[in-house]
Amino acid sequence: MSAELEELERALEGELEWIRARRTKAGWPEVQARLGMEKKPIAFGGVTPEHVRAAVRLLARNAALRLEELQHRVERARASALWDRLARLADEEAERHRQASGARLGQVFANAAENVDFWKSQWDGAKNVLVLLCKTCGAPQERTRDYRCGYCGGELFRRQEEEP
Amino acid sequence: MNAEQAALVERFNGFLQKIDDRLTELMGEAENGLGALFAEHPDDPLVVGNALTGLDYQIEQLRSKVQETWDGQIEAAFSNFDDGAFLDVGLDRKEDFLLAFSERWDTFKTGAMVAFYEAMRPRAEAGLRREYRCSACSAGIELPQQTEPASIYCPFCRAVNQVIPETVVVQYFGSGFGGGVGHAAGEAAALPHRYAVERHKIAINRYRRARDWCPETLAQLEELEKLELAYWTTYVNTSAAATGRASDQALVKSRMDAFRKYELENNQVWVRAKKK
Repeated sequence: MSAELEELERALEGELEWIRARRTKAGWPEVQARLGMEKKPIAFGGVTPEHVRAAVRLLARNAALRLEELQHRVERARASALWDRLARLADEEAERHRQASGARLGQVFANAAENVDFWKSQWDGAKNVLVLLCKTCGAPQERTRDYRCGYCGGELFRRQEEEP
Repeated sequence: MNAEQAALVERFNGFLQKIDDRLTELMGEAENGLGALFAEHPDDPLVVGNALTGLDYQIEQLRSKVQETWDGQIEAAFSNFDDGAFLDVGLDRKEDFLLAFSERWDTFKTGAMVAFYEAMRPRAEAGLRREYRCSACSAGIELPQQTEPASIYCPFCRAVNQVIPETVVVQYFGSGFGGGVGHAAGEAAALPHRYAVERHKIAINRYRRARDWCPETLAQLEELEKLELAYWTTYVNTSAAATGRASDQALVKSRMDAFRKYELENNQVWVRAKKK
């Protein structure tokens, strides 16, 4: 009985290795075919962690169905450990793929995004529609390219010599 | 070519193949990394540009190994067996390889930018449908061109509204001066023409070298002009199609005028034939 569980664990490991070896644009159609997944071509970006997660989820589901048949005949603790592993498997493999993908070039991509949040925060909340108001009387600008207020004759913009 | 020369060429090809294999590996890793970056920063071309600049450096390190190894070891070996033409065999092989290497990498980069903008398109198209309201009285106002900022006079309260399209619209469509999907698509479509120009220049040089450095023929120069025109025409027309803007023929004219002035009109064969 524990032999059946060991067989299931070995088969699962074998399938995972088989998928890991095909995490490329060229190899992924084979994975899709083997797992009965929809044959969608891989867009730019290659095989993503989401692709891997979806595939391993199917693998885990198949293994879970088999485990369900076996669990009453095998040692409870081992079955429970395998259930736990199956629950985490898709996320773990996705993360493993994410780390492997960026392993050598990871720093390049980390640097690329380093100051993005700062600049985004500068623009967050920026309005798309603005009306310039006279800084003397608050009236709105009424003629394009005319920056003198039509009501009080004041300036719509602060002059440089007035800057604190 | 004798047996020793053939063996040297084979060893050189083997070395170049390793460089090419490494480029393939790097491009695979780069594609995965860029895909993840697109997902995390789908509307920010600055991040993608930063990443591609960083990748350029990695690729340049690889590319420079070819020249370093040539300078350090291979050139001497080819020179040893040189019979007047054999050194050129090595130089030509190196030149062809480096051009193909650059073309592969540039094709990857332009493809990446096109993929980035393709992914942005649904959000940009949704942004085009945004409605704008006068900041002073909330009446509906319309941008004459949904992709360009404008000063819009509100007919109800007479206030002048400075209206800027959604950020994703500006990022996607770029401005009338370039950038955005227009530039990305134009560059990707025109790139093969750029490399056709470079290959033609190499072919001209090799023709001249084989004839004791005779001048270029008029036909070769006219072909060069035709290829350069094909590049700019493809760029401009593809950019226009991608953004819905008018095709910028003034850009084609200005680029071709500059090309003729700096590449053709200082050539005596051209000057005599065209009387310029």
